[in-house]
Amino acid sequence: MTWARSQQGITTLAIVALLLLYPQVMPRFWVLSIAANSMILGIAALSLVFMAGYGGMTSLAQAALAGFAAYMLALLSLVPSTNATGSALGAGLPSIPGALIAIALATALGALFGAISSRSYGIYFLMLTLALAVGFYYIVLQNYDVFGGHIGFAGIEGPTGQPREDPPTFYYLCLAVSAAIYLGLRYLVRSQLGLTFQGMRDNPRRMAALGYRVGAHRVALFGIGGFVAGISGVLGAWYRGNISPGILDLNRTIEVLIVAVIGGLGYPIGAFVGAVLYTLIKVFASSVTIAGFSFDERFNTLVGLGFVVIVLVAPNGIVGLADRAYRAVTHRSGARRRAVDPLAVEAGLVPAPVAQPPDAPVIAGDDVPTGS
Amino acid sequence: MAAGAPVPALRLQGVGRRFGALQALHDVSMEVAAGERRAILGPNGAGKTTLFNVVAGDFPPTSGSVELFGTDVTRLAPYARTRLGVCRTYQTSQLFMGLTVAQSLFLAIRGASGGRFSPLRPKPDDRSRVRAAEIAEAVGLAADLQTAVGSLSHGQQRQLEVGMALAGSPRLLMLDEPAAGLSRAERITLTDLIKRLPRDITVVIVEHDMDVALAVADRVTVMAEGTPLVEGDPEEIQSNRTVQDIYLGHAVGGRHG
Ligand SMILES: Nc1ncnc2c1ncn2[C@@H]1O[C@H](COP(=O)(O)OP(=O)(O)OP(=O)(O)O)[C@@H](O)[C@H]1O
Ligand SMILES: [Mg+2]
Repeated sequence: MTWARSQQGITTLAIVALLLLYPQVMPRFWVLSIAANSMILGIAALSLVFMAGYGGMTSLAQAALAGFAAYMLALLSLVPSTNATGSALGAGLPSIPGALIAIALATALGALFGAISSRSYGIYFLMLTLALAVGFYYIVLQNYDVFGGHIGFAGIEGPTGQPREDPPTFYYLCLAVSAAIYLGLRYLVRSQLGLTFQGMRDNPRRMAALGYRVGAHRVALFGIGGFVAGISGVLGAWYRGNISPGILDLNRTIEVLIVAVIGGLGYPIGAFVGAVLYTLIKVFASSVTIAGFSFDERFNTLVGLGFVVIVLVAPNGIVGLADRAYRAVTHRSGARRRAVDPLAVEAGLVPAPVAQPPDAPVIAGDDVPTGS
Repeated sequence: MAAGAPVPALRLQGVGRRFGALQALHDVSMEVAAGERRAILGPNGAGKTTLFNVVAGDFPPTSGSVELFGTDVTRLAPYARTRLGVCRTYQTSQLFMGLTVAQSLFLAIRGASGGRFSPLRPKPDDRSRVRAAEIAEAVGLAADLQTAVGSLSHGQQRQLEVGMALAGSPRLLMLDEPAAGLSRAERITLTDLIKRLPRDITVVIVEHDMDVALAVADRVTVMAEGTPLVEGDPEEIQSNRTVQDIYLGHAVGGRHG
């Protein structure tokens, strides 16, 4: 066990060193367009992975919440006169306070979405969150005076200035924020609140019978989802320097969902793995033409096909696949099982989960147990 | 009831519950005294589980009222009733398949005791964690604290059901067929466990296994077709003609036999 632990420690150390060295040795394109971009997308996907994997809430509103934070940041931090649209709006706050307020507002909007959808489960929850996302997109698009219509806002600058002028610093900002969120959520998973979310995911009815106000906990989880998505939105606005309704349209919603599923809905780290993979494919597909076949035009087809293959072959995503392979190699029998909807069992729709395949993890994260 | 008389743990008055055209409960009136052990018997479909659901608040009755410890809870949400001290088990296990035994018991303890929104991890010497280990011991799961609920045997899952109900520090404990699917040895352990519960816990048990039901019960209510027919102590019930006709006759070779 100590050997495995020290092995794990060395691997972690090597990864950290690589991540820190990366912007020093890689060209600007790889630092910004690939790495920083992936982290920003990864944080948005992580908000979905956390809600879905640990709370059973597959929210399609995460891109909208991120976009909301970006718009709030623009409205809070732009100075009216430099406003590209010539609108008189803009509070002219410094970037950090503007960002903090924007993230707080995204948290509040997430909680509001949570309150609206607190009694919806499964496909109804999916539809409701999608409706909220699309509704918000049209609000942004149609209220030209407030949101700048399809043009949006330009000239948004973060605390590190224009990313193009100082890629490593912006990269480190993204890395620090990603790491903080990732570690924070991993801590939360084994906290009272995190266990509550998982209880809700597995059996909301039992949670209510144990004395929990399930609706309130769902609001809290959606608030956390809004918080994380909001951070992604703020970083994204700083990264691009401008925002337009495209950052929260249906394409972006699907993008976040695809990234989360590619990485693995049960694995927080999967959000980042999925984001890197997705970004690489997206960037390189556009420059490849083989025998007259332009990958750029077929990008959506390719990603769509890849998505279908992943869902069919590896329902727990790339990380799920790797986890399974690792367990098979090391013969570590995983004690992690897929959660079965108890109401479905009661209704006789699925068999009681007594003997289940041992290769269907729902939870990843650390192994810190709750017992003594 | 005369002033000064003890408040019953549970009082139902004219409770009815309808599912579409089906009248699952009809004019149920009964009282369970504090500290009593009450068995509810009746053939399949008699409405026993529906009665539990109405008392626990899974759905409201379509008529009548439910009182717990003197408080009218007819319209109260399930979580609020739990905080009044109602803990129950389910006929079909309602467990957290993705969590461990320790985590499940921990959630059950904290659900009743507060700190439900704490973003902190419990320390190893946390009182709730220590208590979770004690309860696991009491229901024979001490060796399985770190086992995923989904990997427990059926019998162990049934025991965890009971453990999670006990973990909520119940004043009224409702057990819905806790012995179903248990081995003989497990049934004896369960019977002992129920018999050893302190008398400040009121117990209502639905059980098809007569050995278990009659071993723990002070009083027995026999239900059929959504309504209580007979109430009495175990000897009276066993010798009652009506009961033999409507229930015992059916039960022999019935669902578990
Ligand atoms: N949620 C529901 N929706 C519709 N009908 C229901 C529902 N719950 C129970 N019923 C019906 O109400 C009647 C009483 O069911 P209930 O489960 O209370 O019986 P029971 O006495 O617990 O029987 P068993 O011994 O089989 O557990 C049955 O006819 C059942 O089909
Ligand atoms: Mg029943």
